Amino acid sequence: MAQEASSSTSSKTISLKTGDGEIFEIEASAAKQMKTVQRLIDDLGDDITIPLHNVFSKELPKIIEYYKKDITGEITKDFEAEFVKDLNDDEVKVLFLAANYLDANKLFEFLSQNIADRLESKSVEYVRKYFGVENDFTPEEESKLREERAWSFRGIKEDE
Amino acid sequence: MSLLNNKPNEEDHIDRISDLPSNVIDGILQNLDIRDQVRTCILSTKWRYMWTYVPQLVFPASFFESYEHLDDSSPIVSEIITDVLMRHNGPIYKFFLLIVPDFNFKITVEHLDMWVPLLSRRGIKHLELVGYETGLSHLPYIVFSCKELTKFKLGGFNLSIPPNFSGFKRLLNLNLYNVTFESGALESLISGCQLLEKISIEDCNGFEYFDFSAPSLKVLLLYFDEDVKSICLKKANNLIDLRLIAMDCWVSGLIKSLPKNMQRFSIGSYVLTNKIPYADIIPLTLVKSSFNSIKYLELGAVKLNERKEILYIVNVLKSAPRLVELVVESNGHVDITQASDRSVELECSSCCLNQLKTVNINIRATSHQHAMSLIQFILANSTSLKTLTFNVRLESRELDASMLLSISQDLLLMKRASQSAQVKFIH
Repeated sequence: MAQEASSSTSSKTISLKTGDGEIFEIEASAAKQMKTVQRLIDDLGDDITIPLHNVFSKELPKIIEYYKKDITGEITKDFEAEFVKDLNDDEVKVLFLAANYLDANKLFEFLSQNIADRLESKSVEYVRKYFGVENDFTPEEESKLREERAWSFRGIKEDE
Repeated sequence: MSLLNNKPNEEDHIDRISDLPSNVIDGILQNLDIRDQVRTCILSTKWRYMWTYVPQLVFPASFFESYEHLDDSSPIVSEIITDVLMRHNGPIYKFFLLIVPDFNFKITVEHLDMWVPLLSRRGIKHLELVGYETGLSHLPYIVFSCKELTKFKLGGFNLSIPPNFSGFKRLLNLNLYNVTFESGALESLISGCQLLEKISIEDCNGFEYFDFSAPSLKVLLLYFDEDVKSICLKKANNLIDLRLIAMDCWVSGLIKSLPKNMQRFSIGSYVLTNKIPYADIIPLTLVKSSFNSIKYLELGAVKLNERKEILYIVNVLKSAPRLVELVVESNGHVDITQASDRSVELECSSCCLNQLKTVNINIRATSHQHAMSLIQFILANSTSLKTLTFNVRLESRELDASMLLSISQDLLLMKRASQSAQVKFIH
């Protein structure tokens, strides 16, 4: 249960409520790493359950797990590799967008690198879908551009 | 949120990366390889020029590797790099050319004369020009006009310093690999960069002494060979992490002075079978005045078969009261003249290793007796010891069961100053 008393600060936990109505607890020191959360705490006080409209119960526990490790200084390359190992590209994207919303810098940087790694040598269509981009080139424009930059298209697996 | 039901519709909140502000997209773009980065031009008309504003251009080894099949990749590779630079807009903070060994593309003076002025105008901060060359080209002076450099890595060049060089005033990190220095070049370079915090010099030649004013230096990694006659580090007051690696041979009396506040010190040999004559290179008088703050100590290529080397190590330990972690390594073939004294008398009256927690002793030798004496000394004098790992690979004869047993038994019988000390014996 969250400690509601404002006297102790060291083991203070903050309550976060996700967009789908679930409540999670985090340490105050972990909350500090998420600037959005910290701003809300500064505005609303730390006794109130902080509402996070754009983060959901699927991803928040993972984020909390990351920052739990961070405050004990235990984040290693091995931990980070393990952290994303079983996530598919879309799950990483959701986490990444949540990290952006929460203004959680360290996780954001780590995930942006991970996403870049995952996108390496993926087909153009795949990347378009991933970023949510609609192709508005004409076929002529597109093939001209491909020709000009042929060197950057080498070794890419294109879907049809 | 949808008004029609309680569950939020996942489509309603921002789930499209492309709807986000450009600095977020930059976050991903900045980690992309040059080919992936440039290829984003095809995603849509909005994305056509986005790649040109990403302030970095990294040409990794894989980029060069993809042209290895060509007899002469120079024209096409340099054309691509030039094209990328010409189309780019905005600042360029990172530019890397990481060429693979044995590749037929050489970064030439002509290339750099074309590319570097542009990089300099765009505020280049982190520059890596890494080639592997036997016929080294001369690094053109134009590189020295990149005033904003904070990190510089250079490989495979001849280096001389322009006479009017005022230094890289912002340089923090210098990494030199396979560089040949013209006379005085290394000194001119380092003394012109007073903010340097980290220096790495590997497989380089053309300098005989390392004695430079580097007031901000914290970390130094230096590979030396017999051409290096002296190393003086007393002016490096902030140096806390020192790693010295002997390439092949060394000169007697090599180390003239060490920094006072060193916390990490590691010395080893690139050639595994060499043995470093420690007393010759780092006299004990020097040890006594410089090892006071050392927390981590790694001694590689030790002649663990010689009594005087064990005594030397013991004296080193006595001069390092703050030591927390110790690694001693003895690799490669050792000719054993005679397994001299079975055990060396090692006494320490005032308990000296109060902070030592972790010890790793790795030997690959023909005899383990002296190592055992050292272990006995350590166990008897380390009141805070947590783990001591003794890793033995014996040559010339098999480690048979009875020998293993006798070593294990001896280890068990040794007196321990720390109740919680764990001794691991690996073979």
